[in-house]
Amino acid sequence: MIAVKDLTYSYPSSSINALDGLNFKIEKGEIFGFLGPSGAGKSTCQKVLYKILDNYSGSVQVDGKNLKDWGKSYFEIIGVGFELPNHYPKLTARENLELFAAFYPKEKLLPIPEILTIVGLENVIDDRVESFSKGMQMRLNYVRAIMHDPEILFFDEPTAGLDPMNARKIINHIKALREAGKTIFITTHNMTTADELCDRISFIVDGQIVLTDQPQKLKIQYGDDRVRVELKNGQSSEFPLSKLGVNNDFLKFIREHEVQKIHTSEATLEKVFLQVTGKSLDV
Amino acid sequence: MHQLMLVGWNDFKLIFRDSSLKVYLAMPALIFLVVFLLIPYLSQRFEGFQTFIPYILMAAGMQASVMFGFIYSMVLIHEKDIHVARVYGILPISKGMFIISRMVLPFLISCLVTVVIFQFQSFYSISIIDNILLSMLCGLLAPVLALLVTVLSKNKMEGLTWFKIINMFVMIPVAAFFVPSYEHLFGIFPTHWAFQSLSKIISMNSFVLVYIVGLLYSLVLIYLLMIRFRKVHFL
Repeated sequence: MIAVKDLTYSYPSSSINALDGLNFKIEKGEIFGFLGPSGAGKSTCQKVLYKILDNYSGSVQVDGKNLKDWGKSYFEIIGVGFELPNHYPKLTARENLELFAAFYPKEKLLPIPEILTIVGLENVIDDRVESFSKGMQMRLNYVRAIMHDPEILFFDEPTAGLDPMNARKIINHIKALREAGKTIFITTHNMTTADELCDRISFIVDGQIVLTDQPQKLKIQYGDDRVRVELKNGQSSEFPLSKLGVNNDFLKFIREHEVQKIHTSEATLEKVFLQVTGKSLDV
Repeated sequence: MHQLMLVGWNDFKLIFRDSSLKVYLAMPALIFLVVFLLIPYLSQRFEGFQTFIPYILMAAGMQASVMFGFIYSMVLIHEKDIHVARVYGILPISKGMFIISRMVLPFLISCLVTVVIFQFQSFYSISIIDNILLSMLCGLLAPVLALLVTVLSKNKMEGLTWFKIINMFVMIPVAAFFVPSYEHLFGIFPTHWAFQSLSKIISMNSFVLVYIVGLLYSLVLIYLLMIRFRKVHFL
């Protein structure tokens, strides 16, 4: 669906490349994520892909067509969930959505009250946005991104500013969009979101992709091949995963003690990121 | 067309719901009071006041455009401040059409107010055709100002500062009438051509040439400002 080759971009006021030779592909129906610290180039890459930034070098193909050859119809097939809330505060939620909905073909539009229900904003539909919390405005961002049923969705930090319950609603809906065949590109520095949502992720640092793979594979690959056994008395011990069933030390240990927990020592994405890039996601 | 009307209607809602902007909508009424009541009164009361009437009419003819240029620049800067401008950047509409649609309303309202001023002032006889043509030239100042202040400013404070600076230059071309040998040196200010046109209309001379130059100059300015606006507004 999206194929990016040698994508390089630098802001007019800067001599440093914000994006430095990016190569990646996103398949139809896939959730692809960019995981990286602030300033790594995640949002810049999305801005190129939704045509806010031009003057890039390299090639971007969307649905088999060069991005530069797409006209305004491109904006009918994409939806963008921005990182920060951006609505008219003096207008109501309904007025904000109706204003932007007017630019899309009517037959593609989802009913506004119905989609507000997805994110729990149906009861404040006629309230002015200035009375909304940041989390409510972010949910309104999400609704605006999906209201014209686009084929490709860009979400920049989709769960930022949301409480756990509403973050869950958004995560579940993004998964439902994937089931419906939508192509989704997420940028985040939240490894929990990336881990749960993404089919594949790329680590991006200083405008360069360092690694691309499935989160689960990365966690196993960079984790220890060991099993950790924790006992009810607070003691714990680790054993090699290999030939665990015939490891007499392990078998003796679980036979003789009251086991509370047994788990593999797979790495978190944050640890993998640190190990691979040498940088923290909190930077 | 429906979209453009909706954007215009939305702009009105934004202005009416913003207490700091809606007070400026009373400005046309104030101009009417000055032109239709105060100036006739002063010209009767004070000998020699008539000398200043053309200049007062020139100022009055520009005030609606200045005001709506200012109001729209504030709306657009606010839109950029709160990042709503980015949303317009990803809508399936041509950016050029979008900018034009945002500029049509301030232009039309400014024209309308100016037509009323020139039509009902009691000092000179101006034909309705001349009036409409002149008001259109005056009205073009609204988009020029709105776009110029918006592209120069990063936030509302900067916008207010730039507006005050630019507003100082609006009436400078009146000076051209006191130095006739160098009058068209003031042509760099778009208001110069409207002032010259009004002067020629009230002195019953042909204003075609200065009008066409003024019209083309204003349109070129708007075009150049639109290019810049397009580059900076949607980021």
